[in-house]
Amino acid sequence: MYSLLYIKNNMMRLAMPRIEGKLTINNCIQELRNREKLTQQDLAEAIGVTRATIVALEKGSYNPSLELAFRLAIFFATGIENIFFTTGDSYE
Amino acid sequence: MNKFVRFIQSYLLIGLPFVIICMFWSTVSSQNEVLMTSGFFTKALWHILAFNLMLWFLILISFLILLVLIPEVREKTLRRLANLKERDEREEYITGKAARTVYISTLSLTLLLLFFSLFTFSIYSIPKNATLDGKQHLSVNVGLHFNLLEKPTIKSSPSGTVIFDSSNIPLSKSALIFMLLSWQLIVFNFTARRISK
Repeated sequence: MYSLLYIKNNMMRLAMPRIEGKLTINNCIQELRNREKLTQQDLAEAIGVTRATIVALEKGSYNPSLELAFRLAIFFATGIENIFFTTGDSYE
Repeated sequence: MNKFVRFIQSYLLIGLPFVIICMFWSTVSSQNEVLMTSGFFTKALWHILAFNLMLWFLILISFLILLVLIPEVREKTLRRLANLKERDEREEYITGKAARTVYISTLSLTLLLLFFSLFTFSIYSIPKNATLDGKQHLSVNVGLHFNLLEKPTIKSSPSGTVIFDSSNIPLSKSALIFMLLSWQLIVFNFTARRISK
């Protein structure tokens, strides 16, 4: 009984996806902003951050917190997964 | 408390030019010169400025003690001095990263200073006649000394015996650096634990 459980657990573990390496998170904030015809300052004021943060987000040099990601998603009335996407280099 | 701190800050700022004037005046002419040869208004001005100088320094000491003891005062005052900008999460992140670098680098610098204050390192040249083989040798001495307190130096003043002198801090250099090092480590760990709870 114990060995069966052990085999089952190991099989489940092998079946689980493994995510290794650095994930590059990209976003389409600039496209969404342009579509809404908003300036960086407008967007920054709407979601309560500075313009520099919007610049950094659009350049991809800063990954936002989950809260800020949700705020962006709510503002653009879409899901987080439609704004942020990964281009991971090592999915197994 | 806030009003009191704001009053102190304003007084320190407003009083600073008068303190500078007083210090400059006292370097140009001596107290006896002013009090003996000047008129009533000059003497009165001298007394007012001297009183202001004394009061300003006393308030400055109190303010510096408040800075160490009260986190809110420290936060409000030193935030401007340190140019901390935390308007949003990205700036908080940047501040955190910069503070980490400062913390680590200061820690290494303090350790180096502690090392220099604790260890004595000297190289001697031993004369030929003092060595067994008759050749000139170099001697390297490495020592360790730690004194918690400096030897008190009792100064005498022309106006009387000195009871208290702020320049004569009893703690030694090593003790001060060690205290600073301990303070940094303790405050960092305490704050990190408090935040993580």
